[in-house]
Amino acid sequence: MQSIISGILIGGIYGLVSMGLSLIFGVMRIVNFAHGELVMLAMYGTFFGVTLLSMDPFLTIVLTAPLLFLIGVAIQKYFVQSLIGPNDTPQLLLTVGISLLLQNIVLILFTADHRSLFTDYAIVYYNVGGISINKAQLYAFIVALLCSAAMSLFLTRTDMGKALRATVNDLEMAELVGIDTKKIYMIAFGIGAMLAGIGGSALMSYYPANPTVGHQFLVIAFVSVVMAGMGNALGAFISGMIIGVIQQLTATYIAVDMQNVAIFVLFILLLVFRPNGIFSRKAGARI
Amino acid sequence: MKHRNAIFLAVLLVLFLMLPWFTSNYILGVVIRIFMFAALALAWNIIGGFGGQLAFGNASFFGIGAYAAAIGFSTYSISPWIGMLIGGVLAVILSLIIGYPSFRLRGIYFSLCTFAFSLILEVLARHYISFTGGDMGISVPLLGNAPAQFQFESGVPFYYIGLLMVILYVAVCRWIQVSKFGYYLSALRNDQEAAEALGIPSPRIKMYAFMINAFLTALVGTFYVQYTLFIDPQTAFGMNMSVQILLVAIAGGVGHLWGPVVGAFTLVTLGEITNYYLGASIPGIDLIVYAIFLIIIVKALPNGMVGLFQQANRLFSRG
Repeated sequence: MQSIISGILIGGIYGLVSMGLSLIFGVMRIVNFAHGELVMLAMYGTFFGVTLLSMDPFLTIVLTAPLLFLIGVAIQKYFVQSLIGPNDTPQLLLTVGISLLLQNIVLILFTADHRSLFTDYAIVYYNVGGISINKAQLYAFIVALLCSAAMSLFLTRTDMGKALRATVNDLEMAELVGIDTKKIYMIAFGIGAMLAGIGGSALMSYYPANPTVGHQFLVIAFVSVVMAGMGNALGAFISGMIIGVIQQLTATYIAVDMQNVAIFVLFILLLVFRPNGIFSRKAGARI
Repeated sequence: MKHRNAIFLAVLLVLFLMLPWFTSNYILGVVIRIFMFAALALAWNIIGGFGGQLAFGNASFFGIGAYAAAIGFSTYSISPWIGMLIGGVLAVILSLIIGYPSFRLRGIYFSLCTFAFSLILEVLARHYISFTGGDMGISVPLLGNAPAQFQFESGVPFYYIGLLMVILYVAVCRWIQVSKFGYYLSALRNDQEAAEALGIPSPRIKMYAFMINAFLTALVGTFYVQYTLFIDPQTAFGMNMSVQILLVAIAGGVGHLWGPVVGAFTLVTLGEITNYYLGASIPGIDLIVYAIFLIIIVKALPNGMVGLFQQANRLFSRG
């Protein structure tokens, strides 16, 4: 039970990061290999927000979220836009390049040292019916939940969200009815990066940062996106939580260092048997 | 034209054969690295270039080759020459296991699936410490000059073995290019549906290409471990290895016979120069240079360096 609860709590963050990747992957079919680095950048942002400006770690989101949004828009506008086409290879390589670039710039600027925050969030535990819950993990989970709820409302209730979903469903049709799809692409990448950033900032409250920390989130996010089905952002959030639980259970009952093997195997099985995700009954993307 | 190319290649070969007499050990080491990456990229080019299947987990095969030789020698006292073959065979078996599910997928999904397998191998290599040494890796016992055990005191024998390897790999690629098998592959790359409609057994052809790629990549893995006498999970199966193999092949020119060689020469030299001048003061700068190079290649030179040469050549001959 303890592992299930911890799994759900950490899974909330995975879910948020995955939701971000889902927007990028689902809307633009861009396999964003730099997604983990966006999480990493936000973690460093929060670290310096707390240590230099003595902000509350969760409050730094008001800084990191808009920053990451801008970074996402810039990546889309200056790097990815011209490469969108039938062939996936160029944009995959490009995002690998961006990922390497960000990783090593951070390495040069801030060294390879692990950075962690020593706030009371990380050390306070609540005891609920024999299950101990870390304060930082709980708050991070609540942030993730709120953001994903806001995201769902945005996608279903606002004109912008509807335009975004229309672009996912049928790019040409969306263009025909007058949607500026280039703008939508930039916004989608921006929001995707922003969600990764919020996830990273929340995570920083209890998880140490280093230049290569993003790698693990990248793979987890890919698994959730594939599990949910292309473009199913809400599904990606739920899948993220499922993956958190699977990871914790493997860590508890098999071995801590094997916790990701179960996820990778699951990934391969999903790719082969349910490439459209576990939530969809037939082919076709949806949000 | 054909005649001129043959003379050019012959001169180049003689130059490379004589190189160890003229250069320092440092330069020799750099050229050996160039050979290794050229060989890795040549192998990848068979499935990724000729076949157009963007395999993203070639580190799996490299790592198997490296570990087969290292474990075989240090635990079971098997000569690495035999370990090399064992590694190659294991890699072919592994390529069947990876290829069977992966080839049911296309494009990006294929890449992700092959990538996932390399991640699994990395975790397994970390976990089974008694077998692989875990994160500490395996240090191959130093024997001095022992040709029967694939160990040499100087870099010169490694240089010639590396050169031979590159020549053989180019020959294999050339043979594939002009064979029926190669035409099947390029037909698949251009239009899988049309190729299948013409009766080309696409799953089998792709699998053969993947198996050849796996075997050749594993041999380089053994070469690497004998040359450096050390292997760990990160070097063997890590994402960086897969990315670097791809990078070399793509920088040179995907699907072109000489692309991987040109790519290895350019990238390794570039990396060495940056490391030589800046590496000591700024760690990671070589990877930044790689990354920028990769972004420029993708944005500006979709056909790689070879494409650039061809364009220049065309301009010249037009006069």
